[in-house]
Parts: sequence; C-alpha cells; structure tokens
Amino acid sequence: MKYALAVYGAAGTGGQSSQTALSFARALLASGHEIIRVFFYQDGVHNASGLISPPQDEQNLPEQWQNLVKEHNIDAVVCIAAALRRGVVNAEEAQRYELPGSNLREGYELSGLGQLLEATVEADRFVTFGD
Amino acid sequence: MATLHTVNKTGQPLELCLRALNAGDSVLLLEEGVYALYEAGDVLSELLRHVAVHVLDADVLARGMTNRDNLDIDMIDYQGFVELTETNDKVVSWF
Repeated sequence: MKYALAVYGAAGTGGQSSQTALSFARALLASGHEIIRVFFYQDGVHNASGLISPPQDEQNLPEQWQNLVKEHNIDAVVCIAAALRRGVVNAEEAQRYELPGSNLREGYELSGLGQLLEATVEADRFVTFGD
Repeated sequence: MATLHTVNKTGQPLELCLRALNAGDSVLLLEEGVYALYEAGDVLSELLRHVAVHVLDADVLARGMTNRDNLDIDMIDYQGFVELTETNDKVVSWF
C-alpha cells in the first residue's frame, strides 16, 4: 500500500516522534509498502537540518533519516513556513532572506502545506507522528 | 469503517481518544502513552471491554515497565504496528 507520514518532532523538541516515525518507516519498507511522502512539519523540520550534532552516545536521527530518504528515494518535504521560522533553509531561501548560510540537507525539499494535503489524498494510509 | 487510534501520552490525548472510539476500533499505546498501563482509575480495563488495545513493546521496555499480566493487552513490535495500519482503514493520532 501507499503510505504518507507526517513528522512533528525532532530530537531535542521534547518528544520521541522522530524516532518512532523512523522505526515505523523502516518497518513499512521491510513489509514491502511504499512511502510516497514524508512531510516534516512544525518542530519536525529540525530533522532536515545539517547543523544538528547530537551527543556521541545518542542516535543521530537527522543522519538516519537522510540515509533512509536517499536509500529509498523518498519524497521528503519540509514545511517551508515552519522551517523558515526555525532557521532551516536551503541556499535559495538563504539568498532571498539574506541569511549568512543554509543548512537544509540534500534530498529534502522546502514546500507548503499543499504537499501535505496532496499526500493525504494520494496515499492509502496517512500516519501522523505528533511530538 | 475501523480506525486505529494511536495515543502517545496519557492525560488529555488519552481522554479525548476515549471519547472518539467506536466499536471495532483499535488503540495503540506508544511512547509516553504506555503509562496508561498503570493509569489510576483503571481506564484501561474499561477500555478493554470495548476495543482492542495494543502497546508498543519498545516503549514499554524503554520505561522499565512490564505488561500487566492480569489484563490481556497485546504487546506488539513495529511490524505489528504496520499490520494494524493495514487492517484498519484510517489512523488517527492523539498527541
């Protein structure tokens, strides 16, 4: 079946939704399902930041997400409004807002809530991981 | 149409979920929601009479809790979580 996921949190934002969503995504793929989109929303946008350095005895969730996205060619969309206010930007937005740098990881796209809506319509199952 | 309700906290998310349940639905307790296993007032035993309740094993083990042996609650892994999303038509997340 086609699945779409929404991730609302990241390591350091209070909950464990990022870890849960990642484990669920792996289990989905292992079962032969397709993930048509992962939408990173609210604090979940931090998963797409290239500037996160977790302590060495903790899992690096942003890195693990990126590996999964790359390996399975997952459409990874980051809410642009949520990302801009939290300092997660690509080169294009950094230039537009005259910011000193960009940090969006490769393989992620900044876009709007329309992408979330579309994912809920196109997928057979939509699962939200609230923080 | 059966719905899977995931609950990741006790308190308001769990209470709101309880009000929204229909016969035939399933509940999955995960993350901090597994503390519902020891919720005062025994919401859970009441709940078990109406719907199927499951708990995510990784979250139970991470908190040093054991499944309450006097309640018949299904401990599942992520594979089981996936299966619940297959057998239910929709997933509603309470958080």
